[in-house]
Amino acid sequence: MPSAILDIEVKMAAGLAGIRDNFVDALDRRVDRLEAFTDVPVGAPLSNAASEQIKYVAHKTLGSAATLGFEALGRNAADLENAVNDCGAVYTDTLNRAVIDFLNAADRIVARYAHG
Amino acid sequence: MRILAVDDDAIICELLREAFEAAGYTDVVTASSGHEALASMRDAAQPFDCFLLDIQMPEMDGIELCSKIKSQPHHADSPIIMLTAMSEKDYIDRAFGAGATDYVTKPFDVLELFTRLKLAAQLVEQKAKVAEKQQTIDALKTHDTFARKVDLREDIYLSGVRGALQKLAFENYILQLGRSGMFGSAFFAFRFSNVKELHDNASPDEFVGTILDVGDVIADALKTTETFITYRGNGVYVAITKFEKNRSVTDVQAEIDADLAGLIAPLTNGEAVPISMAVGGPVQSGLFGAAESLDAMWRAIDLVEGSAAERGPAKATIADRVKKVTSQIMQSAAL
Repeated sequence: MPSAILDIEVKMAAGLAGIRDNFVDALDRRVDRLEAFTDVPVGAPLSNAASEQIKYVAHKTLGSAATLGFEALGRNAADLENAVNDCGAVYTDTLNRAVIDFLNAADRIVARYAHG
Repeated sequence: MRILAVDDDAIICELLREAFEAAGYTDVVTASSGHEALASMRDAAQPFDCFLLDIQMPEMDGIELCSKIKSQPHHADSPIIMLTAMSEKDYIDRAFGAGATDYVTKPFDVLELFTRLKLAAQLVEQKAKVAEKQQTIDALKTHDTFARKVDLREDIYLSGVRGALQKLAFENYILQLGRSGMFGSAFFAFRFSNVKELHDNASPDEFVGTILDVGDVIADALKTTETFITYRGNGVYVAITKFEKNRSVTDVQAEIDADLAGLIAPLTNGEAVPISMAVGGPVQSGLFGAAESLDAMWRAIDLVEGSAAERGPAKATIADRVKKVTSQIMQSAAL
Protein backbone atom coordinates (compact mmCIF):
# COMPACT_ATOMS: atom_id res chain seq x y z
CA MET A 1 0.00 0.00 0.00
CA PRO A 2 1.44 3.45 -0.90
CA SER A 3 2.81 5.24 2.15
CA ALA A 4 0.60 8.35 1.72
CA ILE A 5 -2.60 6.30 1.87
CA LEU A 6 -1.27 4.31 4.78
CA ASP A 7 -0.38 7.55 6.55
CA ILE A 8 -3.91 8.94 6.08
CA GLU A 9 -5.44 5.65 7.23
CA VAL A 10 -3.24 5.56 10.33
CA LYS A 11 -4.17 9.17 11.14
CA MET A 12 -7.85 8.33 10.73
CA ALA A 13 -7.84 5.06 12.64
CA ALA A 14 -7.96 6.55 16.14
CA GLY A 15 -10.69 9.02 15.20
CA LEU A 16 -12.72 6.34 13.45
CA ALA A 17 -12.91 4.22 16.59
CA GLY A 18 -14.71 7.06 18.39
CA ILE A 19 -17.02 7.66 15.43
CA ARG A 20 -17.90 3.95 15.27
CA ASP A 21 -18.97 4.10 18.94
CA ASN A 22 -21.23 7.05 18.16
CA PHE A 23 -22.58 5.25 15.10
CA VAL A 24 -23.45 2.19 17.18
CA ASP A 25 -25.24 4.39 19.77
CA ALA A 26 -27.20 6.02 16.94
CA LEU A 27 -27.90 2.60 15.43
CA ASP A 28 -29.36 1.40 18.72
CA ARG A 29 -31.79 4.34 18.66
CA ARG A 30 -32.59 3.71 14.98
CA VAL A 31 -33.40 0.07 15.80
CA ASP A 32 -35.92 1.22 18.44
CA ARG A 33 -37.44 3.63 15.95
CA LEU A 34 -37.68 1.00 13.23
CA GLU A 35 -39.24 -1.56 15.57
CA ALA A 36 -41.85 0.96 16.70
CA PHE A 37 -42.95 1.70 13.13
CA THR A 38 -42.90 -1.87 11.81
CA ASP A 39 -44.94 -3.56 14.51
CA VAL A 40 -47.65 -4.40 11.98
CA PRO A 41 -48.72 -7.66 10.31
CA VAL A 42 -47.66 -8.46 6.76
CA GLY A 43 -50.30 -7.17 4.34
CA ALA A 44 -51.47 -4.34 6.63
CA PRO A 45 -51.53 -0.76 5.32
CA LEU A 46 -48.39 1.25 5.99
CA SER A 47 -48.96 4.86 6.96
CA ASN A 48 -47.06 7.64 5.24
CA ALA A 49 -45.42 8.56 8.56
CA ALA A 50 -44.23 4.98 9.10
CA SER A 51 -42.95 4.76 5.55
CA GLU A 52 -41.00 8.02 5.93
CA GLN A 53 -39.45 6.85 9.21
CA ILE A 54 -38.35 3.53 7.69
CA LYS A 55 -36.86 5.40 4.72
CA TYR A 56 -35.07 7.77 7.09
CA VAL A 57 -33.51 4.95 9.13
CA ALA A 58 -32.48 3.03 5.99
CA HIS A 59 -31.13 6.08 4.17
CA LYS A 60 -29.07 7.44 7.05
CA THR A 61 -27.62 4.03 7.86
CA LEU A 62 -26.77 3.43 4.22
CA GLY A 63 -24.91 6.75 4.13
CA SER A 64 -22.24 5.89 6.67
CA ALA A 65 -22.29 2.16 7.53
CA ALA A 66 -19.91 0.93 4.84
CA THR A 67 -17.49 3.85 5.25
CA LEU A 68 -17.18 2.85 8.91
CA GLY A 69 -16.54 -0.79 8.04
CA PHE A 70 -20.09 -2.17 8.42
CA GLU A 71 -20.52 -3.23 4.80
CA ALA A 72 -23.11 -5.96 5.44
CA LEU A 73 -25.32 -3.57 7.39
CA GLY A 74 -24.96 -1.07 4.55
CA ARG A 75 -26.26 -3.68 2.10
CA ASN A 76 -29.19 -4.48 4.42
CA ALA A 77 -29.96 -0.75 4.64
CA ALA A 78 -29.96 -0.47 0.82
CA ASP A 79 -32.33 -3.48 0.56
CA LEU A 80 -34.58 -1.91 3.19
CA GLU A 81 -34.67 1.40 1.34
CA ASN A 82 -35.55 -0.35 -1.94
CA ALA A 83 -38.23 -2.45 -0.25
CA VAL A 84 -39.96 0.51 1.37
CA ASN A 85 -39.77 2.51 -1.87
CA ASP A 86 -41.45 -0.36 -3.72
CA CYS A 87 -44.03 -1.36 -1.10
CA GLY A 88 -46.92 0.83 -2.30
CA ALA A 89 -48.21 1.79 1.17
CA VAL A 90 -48.55 -1.85 2.24
CA TYR A 91 -46.34 -3.68 4.74
CA THR A 92 -45.33 -6.35 2.23
CA ASP A 93 -43.58 -9.62 2.85
CA THR A 94 -40.48 -8.31 1.04
CA LEU A 95 -40.43 -5.25 3.29
CA ASN A 96 -40.92 -7.42 6.38
CA ARG A 97 -37.97 -9.62 5.40
CA ALA A 98 -35.81 -6.56 4.74
CA VAL A 99 -36.74 -5.16 8.16
CA ILE A 100 -35.87 -8.44 9.88
CA ASP A 101 -32.52 -8.72 8.08
CA PHE A 102 -31.67 -5.11 8.96
CA LEU A 103 -32.64 -5.59 12.62
CA ASN A 104 -30.63 -8.81 12.88
CA ALA A 105 -27.53 -7.20 11.38
CA ALA A 106 -27.93 -4.13 13.60
CA ASP A 107 -28.45 -6.27 16.73
CA ARG A 108 -25.26 -8.23 16.01
CA ILE A 109 -23.26 -4.99 15.75
CA VAL A 110 -24.83 -3.43 18.85
CA ALA A 111 -24.23 -6.64 20.85
CA ARG A 112 -20.61 -6.91 19.66
CA TYR A 113 -19.88 -3.33 20.70
CA ALA A 114 -21.78 -3.64 23.98
CA HIS A 115 -19.45 -6.51 24.90
CA GLY A 116 -16.37 -4.53 23.91
CA MET B 1 -9.00 25.94 1.67
CA ARG B 2 -12.00 26.77 3.89
CA ILE B 3 -14.60 24.03 3.70
CA LEU B 4 -18.24 24.07 4.76
CA ALA B 5 -19.77 20.57 5.02
CA VAL B 6 -23.53 20.27 5.49
CA ASP B 7 -25.26 17.05 6.56
CA ASP B 8 -28.09 16.41 9.00
CA ASP B 9 -26.40 13.17 10.05
CA ALA B 10 -24.01 13.96 12.91
CA ILE B 11 -22.03 10.78 12.17
CA ILE B 12 -21.26 11.95 8.61
CA CYS B 13 -20.20 15.39 9.92
CA GLU B 14 -17.82 13.71 12.39
CA LEU B 15 -16.52 11.40 9.69
CA LEU B 16 -15.84 14.29 7.33
CA ARG B 17 -14.06 16.35 9.99
CA GLU B 18 -11.86 13.38 10.82
CA ALA B 19 -11.12 12.57 7.18
CA PHE B 20 -10.32 16.18 6.27
CA GLU B 21 -7.98 16.59 9.22
CA ALA B 22 -6.14 13.41 8.29
CA ALA B 23 -5.67 14.82 4.78
CA GLY B 24 -4.44 18.16 6.10
CA TYR B 25 -7.61 20.24 5.59
CA THR B 26 -8.02 21.77 9.02
CA ASP B 27 -10.22 24.78 8.25
CA VAL B 28 -13.52 22.91 8.21
CA VAL B 29 -16.92 23.99 9.52
CA THR B 30 -19.91 21.63 9.64
CA ALA B 31 -23.60 22.48 9.68
CA SER B 32 -26.56 20.19 10.25
CA SER B 33 -29.09 21.98 8.01
CA GLY B 34 -29.39 24.36 5.08
CA HIS B 35 -30.46 27.22 7.34
CA GLU B 36 -27.53 26.64 9.69
CA ALA B 37 -25.19 26.57 6.68
CA LEU B 38 -26.48 29.91 5.35
CA ALA B 39 -26.13 31.41 8.83
CA SER B 40 -22.53 30.12 9.04
CA MET B 41 -21.83 31.74 5.68
CA ARG B 42 -23.35 35.04 6.80
CA ASP B 43 -21.40 35.08 10.07
CA ALA B 44 -18.08 33.86 8.66
CA ALA B 45 -15.25 36.36 8.94
CA GLN B 46 -13.68 34.79 5.84
CA PRO B 47 -15.73 33.31 2.99
CA PHE B 48 -15.74 29.56 2.43
CA ASP B 49 -13.90 28.23 -0.63
CA CYS B 50 -15.55 24.85 -1.07
CA PHE B 51 -18.84 23.20 -0.08
CA LEU B 52 -19.90 19.59 0.54
CA LEU B 53 -23.66 19.16 0.65
CA ASP B 54 -25.89 16.26 1.53
CA ILE B 55 -29.02 16.16 -0.65
CA GLN B 56 -31.66 14.62 1.58
CA MET B 57 -32.13 16.99 4.50
CA PRO B 58 -35.37 18.17 6.12
CA GLU B 59 -36.80 21.65 5.35
CA MET B 60 -34.18 22.79 2.83
CA ASP B 61 -32.61 20.01 0.79
CA GLY B 62 -29.06 20.11 -0.54
CA ILE B 63 -30.13 21.01 -4.08
CA GLU B 64 -32.02 24.11 -2.90
CA LEU B 65 -29.05 25.03 -0.72
CA CYS B 66 -26.72 24.58 -3.70
CA SER B 67 -28.83 27.05 -5.74
CA LYS B 68 -28.79 29.57 -2.90
CA ILE B 69 -25.01 29.35 -2.57
CA LYS B 70 -24.49 29.68 -6.34
CA SER B 71 -26.78 32.72 -6.47
CA GLN B 72 -24.31 34.63 -4.29
CA PRO B 73 -22.03 36.39 -6.79
CA HIS B 74 -18.78 35.60 -4.92
CA HIS B 75 -19.71 31.90 -4.89
CA ALA B 76 -20.78 31.63 -8.53
CA ASP B 77 -17.55 29.73 -9.34
CA SER B 78 -17.03 27.99 -5.98
CA PRO B 79 -16.76 24.21 -6.12
CA ILE B 80 -19.76 22.41 -4.64
CA ILE B 81 -19.51 18.66 -4.10
CA MET B 82 -22.76 16.83 -3.49
CA LEU B 83 -22.19 14.03 -0.99
CA THR B 84 -25.26 11.84 -1.08
CA ALA B 85 -26.78 8.40 -1.06
CA MET B 86 -29.20 9.49 -3.82
CA SER B 87 -27.83 7.89 -6.99
CA GLU B 88 -30.86 8.24 -9.31
CA LYS B 89 -30.34 10.19 -12.55
CA ASP B 90 -33.03 12.70 -11.62
CA TYR B 91 -31.07 13.73 -8.51
CA ILE B 92 -27.78 13.86 -10.42
CA ASP B 93 -29.37 16.07 -13.12
CA ARG B 94 -31.00 18.39 -10.60
CA ALA B 95 -27.79 18.72 -8.56
CA PHE B 96 -25.63 19.65 -11.57
CA GLY B 97 -28.45 21.85 -12.89
CA ALA B 98 -28.39 23.73 -9.58
CA GLY B 99 -24.66 24.37 -9.95
CA ALA B 100 -22.94 21.39 -8.31
CA THR B 101 -19.45 20.79 -9.67
CA ASP B 102 -19.05 17.21 -8.45
CA TYR B 103 -21.04 14.34 -7.00
CA VAL B 104 -19.87 11.67 -4.56
CA THR B 105 -22.20 8.86 -3.57
CA LYS B 106 -22.42 7.52 -0.04
CA PRO B 107 -21.09 5.30 1.32
CA PHE B 108 -17.95 7.05 0.17
CA ASP B 109 -14.41 5.83 -0.06
CA VAL B 110 -12.14 8.15 1.89
CA LEU B 111 -9.37 8.17 -0.73
CA GLU B 112 -11.85 8.93 -3.49
CA LEU B 113 -13.17 11.84 -1.43
CA PHE B 114 -9.62 13.19 -1.05
CA THR B 115 -9.13 12.99 -4.80
CA ARG B 116 -12.29 15.00 -5.41
CA LEU B 117 -11.26 17.52 -2.77
CA LYS B 118 -7.90 17.91 -4.47
CA LEU B 119 -9.69 18.66 -7.76
CA ALA B 120 -11.88 21.17 -5.92
CA ALA B 121 -8.75 22.74 -4.43
CA GLN B 122 -7.39 23.18 -7.96
CA LEU B 123 -10.60 24.99 -8.93
CA VAL B 124 -10.24 27.26 -5.89
CA GLU B 125 -6.65 28.02 -6.87
CA GLN B 126 -7.69 28.72 -10.48
CA LYS B 127 -10.49 31.03 -9.26
CA ALA B 128 -8.01 32.95 -7.09
CA LYS B 129 -5.67 33.42 -10.06
CA VAL B 130 -8.49 34.71 -12.28
CA ALA B 131 -9.60 37.10 -9.52
CA GLU B 132 -6.03 38.35 -9.21
CA LYS B 133 -5.80 38.94 -12.98
CA GLN B 134 -9.16 40.72 -12.90
CA GLN B 135 -7.93 43.04 -10.15
CA THR B 136 -4.91 43.94 -12.29
CA ILE B 137 -7.20 44.58 -15.25
CA ASP B 138 -9.53 46.72 -13.16
CA ALA B 139 -6.55 48.75 -12.01
CA LEU B 140 -5.33 49.19 -15.60
CA LYS B 141 -8.84 50.07 -16.80
CA THR B 142 -8.68 53.32 -14.87
CA HIS B 143 -5.83 54.38 -17.16
CA ASP B 144 -6.69 52.79 -20.46
CA THR B 145 -9.20 50.55 -22.25
CA PHE B 146 -8.06 47.04 -21.48
CA ALA B 147 -9.75 43.68 -21.28
CA ARG B 148 -8.26 40.30 -20.51
CA LYS B 149 -7.36 38.52 -23.72
CA VAL B 150 -9.08 35.16 -23.79
CA ASP B 151 -6.87 32.31 -24.89
CA LEU B 152 -8.26 30.46 -27.91
CA ARG B 153 -7.92 27.15 -26.04
CA GLU B 154 -9.57 28.46 -22.89
CA ASP B 155 -12.87 26.94 -21.78
CA ILE B 156 -15.59 29.51 -21.19
CA TYR B 157 -18.59 29.10 -18.91
CA LEU B 158 -21.74 29.62 -21.02
CA SER B 159 -23.37 31.93 -18.51
CA GLY B 160 -27.11 32.31 -19.13
CA VAL B 161 -27.32 29.41 -21.59
CA ARG B 162 -29.86 26.75 -20.61
CA GLY B 163 -28.16 23.65 -19.22
CA ALA B 164 -24.69 25.25 -19.15
CA LEU B 165 -22.05 23.57 -17.00
CA GLN B 166 -18.42 24.46 -16.42
CA LYS B 167 -16.06 22.11 -18.25
CA LEU B 168 -14.97 20.23 -15.13
CA ALA B 169 -18.54 19.97 -13.80
CA PHE B 170 -19.64 18.58 -17.19
CA GLU B 171 -16.95 15.88 -17.02
CA ASN B 172 -17.88 15.07 -13.42
CA TYR B 173 -21.53 14.79 -14.46
CA ILE B 174 -20.63 12.29 -17.18
CA LEU B 175 -18.44 10.31 -14.79
CA GLN B 176 -21.25 10.15 -12.26
CA LEU B 177 -23.71 8.88 -14.87
CA GLY B 178 -21.14 6.26 -15.91
CA ARG B 179 -20.54 5.15 -12.32
CA SER B 180 -24.26 4.80 -11.73
CA GLY B 181 -24.67 2.70 -14.89
CA MET B 182 -26.96 5.25 -16.55
CA PHE B 183 -27.79 4.95 -20.19
CA GLY B 184 -30.17 6.46 -22.70
CA SER B 185 -28.12 9.61 -23.23
CA ALA B 186 -26.23 10.77 -26.30
CA PHE B 187 -23.37 13.17 -26.95
CA PHE B 188 -23.29 15.78 -29.67
CA ALA B 189 -20.15 17.81 -30.33
CA PHE B 190 -20.06 21.11 -32.23
CA ARG B 191 -17.10 22.77 -33.85
CA PHE B 192 -17.04 26.47 -34.56
CA SER B 193 -15.10 26.12 -37.84
CA ASN B 194 -13.76 29.68 -38.10
CA VAL B 195 -13.16 30.28 -34.42
CA LYS B 196 -9.53 31.33 -34.99
CA GLU B 197 -10.58 34.01 -37.46
CA LEU B 198 -13.07 35.32 -34.91
CA HIS B 199 -10.54 35.14 -32.10
CA ASP B 200 -7.89 36.98 -34.12
CA ASN B 201 -10.22 39.80 -35.14
CA ALA B 202 -12.64 40.23 -32.26
CA SER B 203 -12.17 42.06 -28.98
CA PRO B 204 -12.29 39.78 -25.89
CA ASP B 205 -15.86 40.93 -25.14
CA GLU B 206 -16.97 40.29 -28.72
CA PHE B 207 -15.32 36.87 -28.72
CA VAL B 208 -16.94 35.75 -25.45
CA GLY B 209 -20.30 37.25 -26.49
CA THR B 210 -20.28 35.27 -29.73
CA ILE B 211 -19.33 32.05 -27.94
CA LEU B 212 -22.34 32.59 -25.63
CA ASP B 213 -24.69 33.41 -28.55
CA VAL B 214 -23.66 30.24 -30.37
CA GLY B 215 -24.15 28.27 -27.13
CA ASP B 216 -27.73 29.56 -27.04
CA VAL B 217 -28.30 28.45 -30.64
CA ILE B 218 -27.02 24.94 -29.82
CA ALA B 219 -29.16 24.67 -26.65
CA ASP B 220 -32.22 25.73 -28.66
CA ALA B 221 -31.47 23.25 -31.45
CA LEU B 222 -31.27 20.36 -28.97
CA LYS B 223 -34.62 21.51 -27.57
CA THR B 224 -35.10 18.97 -24.77
CA THR B 225 -34.74 20.24 -21.21
CA GLU B 226 -32.66 17.19 -20.34
CA THR B 227 -29.54 18.68 -21.89
CA PHE B 228 -26.26 19.86 -20.43
CA ILE B 229 -23.75 21.78 -22.52
CA THR B 230 -20.22 23.07 -22.12
CA TYR B 231 -17.69 25.03 -24.16
CA ARG B 232 -14.27 23.36 -24.05
CA GLY B 233 -12.22 25.99 -25.88
CA ASN B 234 -10.84 25.92 -29.44
CA GLY B 235 -14.37 26.38 -30.79
CA VAL B 236 -15.60 23.05 -29.44
CA TYR B 237 -18.90 22.65 -27.62
CA VAL B 238 -20.17 19.35 -26.23
CA ALA B 239 -23.70 18.54 -25.17
CA ILE B 240 -25.19 15.48 -23.51
CA THR B 241 -28.86 14.99 -24.13
CA LYS B 242 -31.56 12.36 -24.03
CA PHE B 243 -31.01 9.88 -26.86
CA GLU B 244 -33.76 10.10 -29.45
CA LYS B 245 -33.66 7.49 -32.19
CA ASN B 246 -35.26 9.77 -34.72
CA ARG B 247 -32.94 12.73 -34.20
CA SER B 248 -29.98 12.47 -36.58
CA VAL B 249 -26.92 14.66 -36.86
CA THR B 250 -28.37 16.00 -40.14
CA ASP B 251 -31.49 17.22 -38.34
CA VAL B 252 -29.45 18.99 -35.68
CA GLN B 253 -27.06 20.44 -38.28
CA ALA B 254 -30.04 21.79 -40.30
CA GLU B 255 -31.55 23.47 -37.24
CA ILE B 256 -28.25 25.03 -36.27
CA ASP B 257 -27.59 26.27 -39.80
CA ALA B 258 -31.04 27.85 -39.91
CA ASP B 259 -30.54 29.59 -36.57
CA LEU B 260 -27.02 30.71 -37.41
CA ALA B 261 -28.05 32.19 -40.76
CA GLY B 262 -28.89 35.49 -39.11
CA LEU B 263 -26.01 35.42 -36.68
CA ILE B 264 -22.89 37.20 -37.85
CA ALA B 265 -20.31 38.25 -35.33
CA PRO B 266 -20.07 42.03 -35.74
CA LEU B 267 -16.69 43.48 -34.87
CA THR B 268 -15.84 46.97 -33.71
CA ASN B 269 -13.29 47.24 -36.51
CA GLY B 270 -16.20 47.29 -38.96
CA GLU B 271 -15.69 43.80 -40.30
CA ALA B 272 -17.97 40.83 -39.72
CA VAL B 273 -17.18 37.16 -39.27
CA PRO B 274 -19.86 34.78 -40.56
CA ILE B 275 -20.28 31.82 -38.24
CA SER B 276 -20.18 28.25 -39.47
CA MET B 277 -20.60 25.17 -37.31
CA ALA B 278 -19.92 21.48 -37.82
CA VAL B 279 -21.90 18.92 -35.82
CA GLY B 280 -20.75 15.46 -34.71
CA GLY B 281 -22.79 12.73 -33.08
CA PRO B 282 -24.95 11.36 -31.72
CA VAL B 283 -22.70 9.01 -29.77
CA GLN B 284 -24.71 6.99 -27.29
CA SER B 285 -23.34 6.86 -23.77
CA GLY B 286 -24.59 3.26 -23.45
CA LEU B 287 -24.09 0.94 -20.51
CA PHE B 288 -20.58 2.06 -19.76
CA GLY B 289 -18.43 2.58 -16.74
CA ALA B 290 -17.09 6.00 -15.75
CA ALA B 291 -14.04 6.06 -18.03
CA GLU B 292 -15.97 4.60 -20.99
CA SER B 293 -18.62 7.31 -20.69
CA LEU B 294 -15.88 9.92 -21.14
CA ASP B 295 -14.58 8.00 -24.13
CA ALA B 296 -18.04 8.35 -25.68
CA MET B 297 -17.71 12.13 -25.30
CA TRP B 298 -14.30 12.04 -26.97
CA ARG B 299 -15.71 9.99 -29.84
CA ALA B 300 -18.29 12.73 -30.46
CA ILE B 301 -15.49 15.32 -30.44
CA ASP B 302 -13.45 13.15 -32.81
CA LEU B 303 -16.42 12.97 -35.16
CA VAL B 304 -16.76 16.72 -35.27
CA GLU B 305 -13.05 17.29 -35.63
CA GLY B 306 -12.90 14.88 -38.53
CA SER B 307 -10.41 12.39 -37.10
CA ALA B 308 -8.87 11.24 -33.85
CA ALA B 309 -5.46 12.31 -35.07
CA GLU B 310 -6.50 15.95 -35.13
CA ARG B 311 -7.23 15.79 -31.43
CA GLY B 312 -3.59 15.14 -30.68
CA PRO B 313 -2.16 13.37 -27.69
CA ALA B 314 -2.11 16.32 -25.30
CA LYS B 315 -5.69 16.17 -24.09
CA ALA B 316 -5.84 14.22 -20.85
CA THR B 317 -9.12 12.56 -19.92
CA ILE B 318 -10.46 13.11 -16.46
CA ALA B 319 -9.45 9.53 -15.65
CA ASP B 320 -5.86 10.58 -16.39
CA ARG B 321 -6.34 13.65 -14.24
CA VAL B 322 -7.73 11.61 -11.35
CA LYS B 323 -4.68 9.32 -11.62
CA LYS B 324 -2.40 12.37 -11.71
CA VAL B 325 -4.06 14.01 -8.71
CA THR B 326 -3.98 10.76 -6.73
CA SER B 327 -0.30 10.47 -7.46
CA GLN B 328 0.21 14.12 -6.39
CA ILE B 329 -1.59 13.40 -3.11
CA MET B 330 0.68 10.44 -2.51
CA GLN B 331 3.77 12.45 -3.32
CA SER B 332 2.78 15.42 -1.17
CA ALA B 333 1.88 13.14 1.73
CA ALA B 334 5.21 11.35 1.36
CA LEU B 335 7.16 14.61 1.66
